[in-house]
Amino acid sequence: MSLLNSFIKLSVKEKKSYMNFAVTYFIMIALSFVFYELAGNQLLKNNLFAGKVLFTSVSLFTSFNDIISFIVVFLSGIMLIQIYMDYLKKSFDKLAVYKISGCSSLRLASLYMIGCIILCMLLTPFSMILGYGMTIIVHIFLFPLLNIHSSVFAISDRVILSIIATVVILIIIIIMYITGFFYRHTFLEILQNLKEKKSEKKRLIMITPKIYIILLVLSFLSLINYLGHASQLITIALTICISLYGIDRYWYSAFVDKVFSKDSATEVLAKGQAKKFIGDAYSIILLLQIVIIAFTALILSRNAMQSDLFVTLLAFTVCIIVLLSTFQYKLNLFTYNNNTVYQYARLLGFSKTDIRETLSKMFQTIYVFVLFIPLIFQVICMIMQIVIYDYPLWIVSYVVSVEIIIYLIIYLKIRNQLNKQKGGESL
Amino acid sequence: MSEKIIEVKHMTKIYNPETRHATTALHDISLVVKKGEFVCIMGTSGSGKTTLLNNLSTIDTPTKGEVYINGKNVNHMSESDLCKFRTNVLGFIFQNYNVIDTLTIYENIRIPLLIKKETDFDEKIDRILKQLDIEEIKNKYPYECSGGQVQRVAIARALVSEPSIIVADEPTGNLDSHNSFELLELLKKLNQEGISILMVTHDSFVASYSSKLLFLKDGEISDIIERENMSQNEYYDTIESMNLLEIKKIYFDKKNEVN
Repeated sequence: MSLLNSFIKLSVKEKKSYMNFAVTYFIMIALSFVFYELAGNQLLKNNLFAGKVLFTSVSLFTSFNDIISFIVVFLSGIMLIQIYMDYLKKSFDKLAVYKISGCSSLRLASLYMIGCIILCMLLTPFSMILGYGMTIIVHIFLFPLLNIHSSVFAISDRVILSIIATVVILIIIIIMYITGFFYRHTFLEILQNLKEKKSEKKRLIMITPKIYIILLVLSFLSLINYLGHASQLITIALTICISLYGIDRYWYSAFVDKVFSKDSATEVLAKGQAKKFIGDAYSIILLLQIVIIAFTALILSRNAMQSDLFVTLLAFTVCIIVLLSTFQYKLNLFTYNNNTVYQYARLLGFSKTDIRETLSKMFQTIYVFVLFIPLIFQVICMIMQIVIYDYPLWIVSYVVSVEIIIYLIIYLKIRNQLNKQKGGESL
Repeated sequence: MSEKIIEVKHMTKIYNPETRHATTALHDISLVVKKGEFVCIMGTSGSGKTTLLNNLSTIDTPTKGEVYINGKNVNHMSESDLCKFRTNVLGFIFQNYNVIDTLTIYENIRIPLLIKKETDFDEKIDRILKQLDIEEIKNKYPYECSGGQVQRVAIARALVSEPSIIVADEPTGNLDSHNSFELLELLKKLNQEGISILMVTHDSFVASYSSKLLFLKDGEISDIIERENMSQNEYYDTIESMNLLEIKKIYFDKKNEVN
């Protein structure tokens, strides 16, 4: 009971962090619901591919849509994990205080973990209701527009519930693992870690977990294996993805050095900040690039095979929104956490306009850096498809407009953020 | 020595004014700092030392009263004038160094010159690097250097734009005795070269390097000591006895309040 009381106090105190976690979880479960319903909807498949026997039976993780659904859930899960890890990292400094007050590691871990698990449990039914609503919208409003005949839940309720249950259990296991990893330290280790954290914070290039990338490449390999043959585009995309992964991150550092002028104070400051951010958010940048390239190849290869196009397009839209939101979240957090740098710069004589210019240059370079290679690949693919394969114009328009809309939203958000700082005293 | 470089007239600083949580940090302060003076501000924790320094150095603005630097009222300066003023007239040194982690030592020192849009600066920077003995670390990042080295970088950055006033907030706070001594000797040398110094400290030994000491208590200047012809030892003893007296006063005042 006292643990629950402590959690309630903690959640009131840190409501913003819990709110971030809750919203992400809510959306993630709703998305999982929609995609697994689409993936397992037998009637949809029969109607979509009438006369073409592509799938003889629905069995999970064997069809193309299942793998796509898995990728969507996996990528939305990354945002959830990112938010949870940032929250734990932020509260890491408090660990020493709790420990010196006599709190055991187990109690500490339970205190932080139980909050998120309670939230997951409370939110799951509501997010499933949202997922249900979204599924109805897709079936009743979107499919008729595309002349696709389907019906909601042509998949067993039991199957979809068991999938959602698996997703929830997986999330809880990941939360438990991450919390345990953070809180198993002894008091002395925490102090040591805090010292290391100080120097780590200052390091420009950080070693980041590779697991996301390996999992993603494995998913695509299994997808190709399922298809039975690799289309040219997928092979090219995979080669680019693996090359991107193989490029040493010091090359990126060199790229940033080249982009900025050495004779402008704002550009010198922006260069330092951009390098640090790229070092900090390297794994998410790489993932974003790979996802854009891989999905472009998938959309085009799916079109060539005249199957599963709709789900792939939907998955592409969702994944790019989720990943760019995660990326923007990290960028905002980075800017907020590095506020002292701008305060120092103000003491040196930077005006507020200079700081805005620095931030603007930093954001622009980071986005160009992230999206440049995928955009080149996309343009080449589109031209190839239009010229060689007589690619339908609406798909090209769709992909391009999704990207333009998302980039526009990001641009407006950044502009809004910079305008806020215009009048803000924080700088 | 007679030219006024800083003049403060009846300055009051209130945090959160017109609210229930209004806190008066400084109350009706008036003072004059002349060109070439080495002024030290001392006082107990919460007495308003840093607030006074921040208001004198344009980091903060007073609630009431006026601050003149080089004859200019800083309250009437525009945002861009203040920025130019900070770059050209003031050099800052802080306890936590305030260097930018993401830039190399060389880039950190070069930044004020880039703000001033100076183009021919390599020779100047090299001279300062040599003077402060940090030539070998110029391509390193701050996290690769020791605390003493980073503080010297902060000093180099403060000096590179040739300011007429150096503002230092507890500059020896994070340094060992050897590095503290070196820093104070350097400040003394700079002061002898004509740079005015305004420094906050709570250490009597550090304060003994100054030519004038302002003792703050509860946001007001309670005492002013001028060094004049005193030796550093005598000056140190005077500061110590003054410091002790102030602490005793605070203790007995509190005790009387309780009784």
